[in-house]
Amino acid sequence: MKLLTSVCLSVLRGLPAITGSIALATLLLSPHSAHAADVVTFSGAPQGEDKLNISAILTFLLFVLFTLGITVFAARRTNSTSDYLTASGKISGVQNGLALAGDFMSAAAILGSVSIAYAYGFDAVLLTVGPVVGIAMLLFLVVERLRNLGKYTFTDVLAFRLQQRPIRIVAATSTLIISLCYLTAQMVGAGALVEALFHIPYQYAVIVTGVLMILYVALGGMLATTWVQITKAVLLMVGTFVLFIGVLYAFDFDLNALIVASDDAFDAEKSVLSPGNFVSDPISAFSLSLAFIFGPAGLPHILMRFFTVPDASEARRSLLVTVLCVGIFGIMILIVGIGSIALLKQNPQFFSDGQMIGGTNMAAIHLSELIGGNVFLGFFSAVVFATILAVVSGLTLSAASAISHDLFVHAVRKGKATDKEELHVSRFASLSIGALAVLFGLLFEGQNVGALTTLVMTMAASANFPVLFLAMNWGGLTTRGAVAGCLTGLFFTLILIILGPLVWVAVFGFDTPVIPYSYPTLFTIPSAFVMAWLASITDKSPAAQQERQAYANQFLLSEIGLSKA
Amino acid sequence: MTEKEVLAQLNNKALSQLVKRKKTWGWGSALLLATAFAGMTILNILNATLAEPIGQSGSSITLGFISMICVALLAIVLTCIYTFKADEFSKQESTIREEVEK
Repeated sequence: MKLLTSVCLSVLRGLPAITGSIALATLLLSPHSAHAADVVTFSGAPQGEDKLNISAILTFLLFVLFTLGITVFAARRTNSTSDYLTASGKISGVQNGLALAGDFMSAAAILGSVSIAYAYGFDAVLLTVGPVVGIAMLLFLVVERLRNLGKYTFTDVLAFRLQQRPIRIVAATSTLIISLCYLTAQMVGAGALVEALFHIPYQYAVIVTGVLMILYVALGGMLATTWVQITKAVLLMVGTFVLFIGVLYAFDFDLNALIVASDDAFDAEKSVLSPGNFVSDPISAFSLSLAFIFGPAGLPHILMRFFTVPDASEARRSLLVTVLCVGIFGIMILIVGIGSIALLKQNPQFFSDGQMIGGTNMAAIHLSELIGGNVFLGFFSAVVFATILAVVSGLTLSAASAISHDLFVHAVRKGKATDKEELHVSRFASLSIGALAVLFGLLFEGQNVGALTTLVMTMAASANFPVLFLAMNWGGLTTRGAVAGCLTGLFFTLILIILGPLVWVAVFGFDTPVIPYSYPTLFTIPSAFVMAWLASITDKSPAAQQERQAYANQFLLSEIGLSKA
Repeated sequence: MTEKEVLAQLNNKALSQLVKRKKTWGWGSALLLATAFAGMTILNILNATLAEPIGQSGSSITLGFISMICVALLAIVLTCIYTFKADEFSKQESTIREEVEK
């Protein structure tokens, strides 16, 4: 309550920061381009007739005003690197849990899952249950030791008993590649989505997203990013709950009737609850499952959040909140997705020439209009945009921490930089990463960026997770092993995805892929583990001996948190 | 706290037992959940290939759907149990550490 009051006061006092939102309002209210109008109409008007959705604009402006207020408030409390990168560990477990849930409930999670449930039925389960299992695994295997050993990034854990420079350079490279790929995919998605939802040109949409993201991160650091994420998570849960209740209400709260109706509308030859419509071969099914289970434990912006809470106990509590939120969200989304088949197919206004207007990714958006009319459509669309903004902010901060903490302080200055220098580099890195994300967003306009999202999850599961897991659980890991494991996971994933259907066929246009699998995690995770093990056991250097001996100390520190004593 | 003191604590029997129990809980929960998830995935792979899918006759709510709900609930329940158990271990650890430091 105290925070909310302060935020409101900050909004009133922080007029200069709010000019950003005025600029945004000007953009939103500007005349629409013909190109944007051709994409899709969300106002219920006939296609091609362009009309502003006041509800969407108002909800989004309120969100921007509120979050910019938070940023002004956070900026006044951000005076050190610890404040900037981890909010000095002052975020509570529940707050962090909500922010983490926000990270998992991305625009891809809501639009993508409903779209896959609409198009393929039951296979959307992998997208909704997979992350819940992944978060639980994070709790059981990683989080406590990570919290006890690290300071700002997961690389701190790797470098705890291994050589600083090579480990920091490799892990920071992996973090930067993962974050930039994810950021590019999000920016392209944001541009296309905002163009369709608010009828503003793609370029403006990308720039608006980039400017807001830079403002949140560069000024407010982790505190602002966390509160933006919490606000968005709460709004998204509310929006999804309304959608869920609306769908159930349409079938008199009878789940069986919902499934029967969707089954009838789905496909004459297939059942809506039959698996194998989206992922048909066993290797891809297992690979996708592995990516969802171990991917979260390798995503730098997720791992970074555990340093924002005071101790390991709060870190565990945050994951409990996350599992509850993401679990409930996943089940709601699955029901909404399956219900959307029966509901949308009865309404021809959402289709043009037999195809859904705006593609099946817009199923959730169309459903929001069907259930709550223009007002709810506007609210839901604005929340989806807010979702993108919150996720890109977290990604930018994790990339900035890799540059300032891992590369600048430890690799370049060998640990001899002052706190002020690190803070300045962090802010500058945030600005640069934000600018780069906008540039990539503009360059990749209209490109198929689906491969980037797969690449990110697979790379996180294959490059970061095996090395992090071995560093915490196996005393035999040496610097050579960690570097070999991380690089194998990184480049093997890159090669297999380029040679697979997602790039070789969809981007390069070849008829058949060199590798038949879109999801290569089943091969890349074991390869990274084997290479790390092999390179470690063959390392007979004196430095490797010392690293092995240091494990006993690290083990105790990681298990009972004595490093904090 | 010096490294020597840390290592002395490692030799404390009660503390080592506690650390072992915590590890067993973590690994046990992870294994149980991974098995359930793998089971669900195998069931779905089989159902995608078999001419007569398992548990899909008669009812609109299939075995695959029920298994999915069960895995999600299992993940939530295990997370709750592990969180409370780990908190309990942490309290015991603090007590032992205080005794050792005395």
